[in-house]
Amino acid sequence: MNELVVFVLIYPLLFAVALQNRVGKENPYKVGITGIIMGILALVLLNNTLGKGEVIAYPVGGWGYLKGIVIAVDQLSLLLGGLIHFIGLITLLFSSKQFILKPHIFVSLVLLCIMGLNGMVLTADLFNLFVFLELASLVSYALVGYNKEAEGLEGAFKYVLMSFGGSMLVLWATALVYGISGSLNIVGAAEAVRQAPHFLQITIIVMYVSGFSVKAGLFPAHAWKADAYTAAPAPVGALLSGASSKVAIYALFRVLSVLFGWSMLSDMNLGVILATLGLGSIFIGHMLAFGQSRLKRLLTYSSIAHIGYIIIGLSVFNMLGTVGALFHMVNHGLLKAGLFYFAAVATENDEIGSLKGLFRRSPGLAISFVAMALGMAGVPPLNGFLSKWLIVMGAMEAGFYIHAAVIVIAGLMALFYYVPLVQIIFTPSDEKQVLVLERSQMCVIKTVVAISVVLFFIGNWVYPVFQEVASNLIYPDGYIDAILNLN
Amino acid sequence: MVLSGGIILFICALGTLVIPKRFLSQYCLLTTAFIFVMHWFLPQQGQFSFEFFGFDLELYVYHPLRQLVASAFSFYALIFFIYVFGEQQSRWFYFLSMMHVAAALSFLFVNDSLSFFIFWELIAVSVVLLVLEQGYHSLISTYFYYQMTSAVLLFIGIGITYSVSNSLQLAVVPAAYPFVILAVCIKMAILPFHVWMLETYPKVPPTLAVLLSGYGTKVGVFSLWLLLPNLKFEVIGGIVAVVAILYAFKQHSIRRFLSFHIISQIGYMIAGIGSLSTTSVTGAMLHIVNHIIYKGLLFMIAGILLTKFGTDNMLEIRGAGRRSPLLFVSAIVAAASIAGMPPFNGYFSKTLLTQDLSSITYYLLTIATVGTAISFSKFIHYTFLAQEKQLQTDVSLPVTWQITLISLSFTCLILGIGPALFWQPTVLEFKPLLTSGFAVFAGITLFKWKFEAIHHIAVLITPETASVSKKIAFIYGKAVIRLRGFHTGNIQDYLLWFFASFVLIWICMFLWI
Amino acid sequence: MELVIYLTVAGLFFLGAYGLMTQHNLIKLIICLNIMEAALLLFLVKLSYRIGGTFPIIRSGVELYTDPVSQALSLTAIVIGASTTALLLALSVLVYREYGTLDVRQLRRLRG
Repeated sequence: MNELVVFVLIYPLLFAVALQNRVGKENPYKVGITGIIMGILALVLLNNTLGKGEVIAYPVGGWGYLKGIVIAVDQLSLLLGGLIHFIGLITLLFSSKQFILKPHIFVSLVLLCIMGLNGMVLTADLFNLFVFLELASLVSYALVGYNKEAEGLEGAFKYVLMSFGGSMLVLWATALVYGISGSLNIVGAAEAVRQAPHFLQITIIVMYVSGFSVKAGLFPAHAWKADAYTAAPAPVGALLSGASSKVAIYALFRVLSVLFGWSMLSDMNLGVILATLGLGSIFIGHMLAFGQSRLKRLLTYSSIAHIGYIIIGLSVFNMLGTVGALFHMVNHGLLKAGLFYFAAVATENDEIGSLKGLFRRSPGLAISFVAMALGMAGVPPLNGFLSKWLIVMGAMEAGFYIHAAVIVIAGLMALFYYVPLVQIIFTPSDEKQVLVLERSQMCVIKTVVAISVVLFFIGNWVYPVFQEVASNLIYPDGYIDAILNLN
Repeated sequence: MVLSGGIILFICALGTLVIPKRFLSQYCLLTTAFIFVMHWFLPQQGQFSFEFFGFDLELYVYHPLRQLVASAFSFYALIFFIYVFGEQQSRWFYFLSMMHVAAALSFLFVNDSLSFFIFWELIAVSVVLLVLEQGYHSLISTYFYYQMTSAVLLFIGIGITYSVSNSLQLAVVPAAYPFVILAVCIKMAILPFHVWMLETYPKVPPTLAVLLSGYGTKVGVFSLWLLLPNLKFEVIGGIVAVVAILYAFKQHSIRRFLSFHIISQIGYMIAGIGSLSTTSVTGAMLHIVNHIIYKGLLFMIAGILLTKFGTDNMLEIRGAGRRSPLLFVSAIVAAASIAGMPPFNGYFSKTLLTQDLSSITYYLLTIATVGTAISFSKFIHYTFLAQEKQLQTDVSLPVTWQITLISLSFTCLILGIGPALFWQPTVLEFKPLLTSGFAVFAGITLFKWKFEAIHHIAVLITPETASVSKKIAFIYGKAVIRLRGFHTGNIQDYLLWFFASFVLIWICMFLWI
Repeated sequence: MELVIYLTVAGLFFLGAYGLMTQHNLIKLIICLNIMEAALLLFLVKLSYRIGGTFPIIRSGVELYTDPVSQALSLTAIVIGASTTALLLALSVLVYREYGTLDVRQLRRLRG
């Protein structure tokens, strides 16, 4: 059954190629959706074979972990994989009827992006991680500038310039690890890296942090994100802010936790530094989202702020915070994707002014927006509240009082820009024309809302799952053992 | 396993989304009646707790005072649904008002801070959605910002309590006092945090005002008792009661006037709860109950006057009493109750809650009682007794409104006489009877004799509260514009930030160790 | 000698970064990115180098090889860099068509 792992990695490539033939060109969305559903099925099967706390380690080509590439799957990777697939699926479902030039190329790019993100999540090899990171990034550049409009090109150009700097730092750090330990496997390198001189350890950590923080859009390297996502087509914005920034954070913490271990990281005060960056993200994101005139730009700034929440939750280095951060990844990914779709269908030209009177024109859409906005602001009974609660309690427990207080206040700052939007939506306007949506689009938005409400009420069942996932991240012993047992 | 009425009502509220539209009002009536019967006649002992998201939640804990207030809440919900029986309201209105009532009811029985917080926010959110549903979208911002500020402060307080005591207990630790006190003050709308109330209660449709006046601030008072059980602050209550009365003198709009009286009555409750004596706390809880009844009655009267006369300015209505005796009588009953005139219900609870107060608070509250009598004399005088102006207006009332007015007036009387005779004979002592009677009498006399002067003094010594929130919004906006100036769109600036931060973080980590 | 190479790597990298921040022509920016990448390629090749080692194909009589893995890494990195460069060049052509300039300071429609 372990070969399924390889299937999850390569099926997007197969389907992307298959899309270029006649059948694929005729129904690109159907082919793409079929592919992603197969991927989801594979993930479900993997989840069933994976016992509690187990890790599947698959040496590609049977080379062992010292020289070959190892793919390792645990609950954490499956969670992130599921998130990527789900958001990819609703992206395709959503854009299926929307006018996008040459849909077969669009769908194959989305599939390739999913492949890159999948690879980042599944691999246990540092250089392989870099390659998949670059694959995902390259595809993202192309997706951002997909419509070849002036703004899209500008956004894509800025994205490449920033992101390439980050990639270079990641590559440098990888090369350093290889130079120190002679192994590219995270586990294989860990021992030597832990005994390396302090100076080198710090350099590696800082390079990884800076490199991945560009991809995630963390505070000092956040500014490209607003430009790129604003200019990108809305489904692309949903895919990137929903899945790809989360995966970058995942990769950062996975690598650091296996290479160094939580205890060493918190001794180095990494938590304080990362949490401070998160603080900056929260302030910048929420403040700049205030008073924007373009909806997607507003949403992007809001997602910069939410990256801050997640980083703070992870960098307090305890169970509650980690569970909260992982849960928030899922919640934010879902809701932000839904909001981007909303921006795509409800506004003309992305102008917030065109939302006026939306409640009359499409009550269902307006109510969904209110629900999603409340969820983003962290108001019960929506899932955003639960994860925020967990992150705050985790930060309080670890003594990060100011950070916790800022996260709480951030909920209020979020309302400062969501409430005016709601008011605009409910303002009656002269335009009486009913807004008609494709059935699949309305269905996607409603599904997002329904899931976010349901996730609140079944929180009790969700919690143990996330606890296990978080323990995978915090105590990577199982992960290390599974890879060491390969030779 | 014990289910609290609030939870049952939540489930019933979901029913409003599916049942046929013509049965909606009957459905809401029946369910709230059932909940009322359950709370009043069949109080359930015991508790109900379960694990949620890794925390132990206690959704139901029996306590006589909780059960008492819950009975009043559910009774008021019943009356409210009788009141709206004839009106054409949408399905969402019924759903959201059921949610509001359910959240307020569940709130009364919780015993841990997570569910406390969830219901605390749900009460506010359901109000926001109700106001939106009624088409008053411009009103939600102030209300929501204030309520969320209060929720944020409460959240911080709960977090500090959790980090100190490692439990979700309701009684907060001293380190969290400043946050929690501010949060509760905003929720109770005591001066100077009353802006949200003035932006909502006098401006929303009268029906909605009737619903909101019942629960919004009372949960704040109740949470005072839950969150700060060891803090003595009775004098603040006395001061609040007096200052709010001074503001009420100036008002001519009936609903603004009533809003300030809510604040003043909340001052009484704060004094009772803040005195920490069992008798006074019981009195304060009874005062919550009574206040819901008579303030609901008053808001109904204001709503009816507004619908019939098209204005709620008491100087413009004038002389409604002669054409609608029922309205007049119930206004008299409500005014007598709120002023604490024996034998109406206000008298009883006020006497009980002033039993153990320090003398200064007692005198402050007595002054507030005189003030209440003065300002309600003004209300009755202008609205019902003065020379008629609008002769053509038709003031015949629908049956449902008559029922609610009569039943609430009778409840005022029964809640005053019943317990006084059978339960607490101390309040029949000579001194409190004399004091309250004298206070009310003094109020009426003062109104007759020197109201102009009192009005002038009140205007002089009550400054219009400077709008701090506007100033904060202004500064925030400035900061945002400044910050936006840094994001020039030039990618090279962004690259500079990135590489500089890389070097900075490296230096930081290097120096730190 | 090793230190000189490491310093060259860091120097080249930050030279590229400096160029990214100071040059305004899009093509020059792309060249700067390539300089950054070249620095890292040098670093990778340095890692593979063994004094007296030969190219890593196993033959009889040869004991010391240079490290094949990091050479493979540098090859992959070259491929990735080349594809990014190609994308960037394509983008700059399109940008020139839309904006009529190659000055990066003019690419400021998205801001604030």
